[in-house]
Amino acid sequence: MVGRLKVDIMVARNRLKAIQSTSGDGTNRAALICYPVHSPGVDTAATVTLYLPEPLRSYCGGIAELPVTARTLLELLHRIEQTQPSLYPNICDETGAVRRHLNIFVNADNMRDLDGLQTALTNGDVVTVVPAVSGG
Amino acid sequence: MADRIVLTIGTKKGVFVAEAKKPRKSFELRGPFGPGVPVYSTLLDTRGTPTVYASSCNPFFGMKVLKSTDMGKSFKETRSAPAFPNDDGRALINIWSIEPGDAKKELWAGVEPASLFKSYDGGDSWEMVPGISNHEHARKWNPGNGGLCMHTIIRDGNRVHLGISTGGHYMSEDGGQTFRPANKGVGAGFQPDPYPEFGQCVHKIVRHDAAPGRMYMQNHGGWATWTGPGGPRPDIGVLRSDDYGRSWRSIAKGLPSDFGFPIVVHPHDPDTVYVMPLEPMTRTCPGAAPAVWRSENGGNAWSRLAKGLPKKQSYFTILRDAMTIDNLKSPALYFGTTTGQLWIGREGGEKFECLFDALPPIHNVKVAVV
Repeated sequence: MVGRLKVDIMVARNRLKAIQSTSGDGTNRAALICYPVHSPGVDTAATVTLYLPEPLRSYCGGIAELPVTARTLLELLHRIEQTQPSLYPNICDETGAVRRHLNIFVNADNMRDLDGLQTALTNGDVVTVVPAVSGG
Repeated sequence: MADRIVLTIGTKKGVFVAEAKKPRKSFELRGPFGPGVPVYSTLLDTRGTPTVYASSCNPFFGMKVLKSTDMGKSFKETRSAPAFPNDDGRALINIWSIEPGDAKKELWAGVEPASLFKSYDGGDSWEMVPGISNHEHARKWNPGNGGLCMHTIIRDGNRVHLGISTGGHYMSEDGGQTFRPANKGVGAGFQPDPYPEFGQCVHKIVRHDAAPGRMYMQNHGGWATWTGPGGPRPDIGVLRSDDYGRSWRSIAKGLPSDFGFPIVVHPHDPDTVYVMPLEPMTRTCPGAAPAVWRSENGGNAWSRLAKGLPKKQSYFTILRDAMTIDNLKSPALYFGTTTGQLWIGREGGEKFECLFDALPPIHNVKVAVV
């Protein structure tokens, strides 16, 4: 519950940043509360934050959060492939599939519970790459 | 500088490096490097500046190749690992073998799914070798219990031998441009046709420079009691070739089991060969009493070497790349177990001693004198 709340706060913060950066005065802050917002058929690119686990940060200059503009998760991954060629193979294999033991969340939801790689993104979303809890 | 004996130990939790001065009285252990990540192959490349390579099979983020130019005191990732072309449809799962090529920085890597890659810049970039990776049989090979792996690469001038589980033995006589299966006499216990053209579960192949036409193979044995289609197929596990791998014959008579994973040839005597027989069902040492078996006449007779090894209640499993031998005048044998013990067999295996008792499960042991 606390974790979910933290994600919500992070998403809200990012949406605020996105709105401020796009509208300038933040007048449409009511949009912050319309969560969840994964409506299919979104055709405008969203500015989202890709949050990376510690082991992946060395592949993109040490940073934990990457701003990415994309309409869907698939498009986000294509953007990463183009702009972060060292990072991308850590997330997707040669066939373009997300690596088997990684989970990708959009805000607090696993993409598997949404529309997979076709999940639509909305301004301020936080996309998180999380290694699955597995192994021994 | 006095000779140093350097061991690389690939484990389920990273790679360790052990080092000793020439008498090998005691080894100093370093690591793990690439901690927490399985390492199935290592290479101690003694051409030029000694360099250690280790494959790091990260289950989360994919394969990496680790490289050390300070003899295993520190490792860095190379710029890339082998990767299939994007339109190939296959994705790299593991690297099972890394071997030196002709040129100073040339490396060959056998991977899973079974394919061959080359690097000409010390592992920073890789290209797939189509002659075997896109062989007409490649999509017909099936994974064994360990996966569909190319675990053995033997280079002998223009001759190249590859061991694939389960694909069998493939050889090239044009430097690796083209390959053909060479499995005459190599049995397959797990299909009705006991001697197929390809598809055998070869576990390891070795040769000796002084006898280039002679090769030894540990194949997937343990089928003496099979009563299904094709009938029993005893002694198909330990084999020898005297014609550069074109045909093979059994040398398993006298062993307690023809099942096992590693096979090692003596550095100074091509007639001396070592195996570690395992029970086929449990894949542990027969009677829970570990022993290395040695032949000093090319496989005509075998003797048991167990001095210093536990006599009971020891369920060792030794994987295909977890036994090796150094090349000192009186060589020492080394093997690692999946229970995390690293053993040294001094005087060519006459006296065994446990060097490290509680490492992670061991996949791979390599040695070099530098």
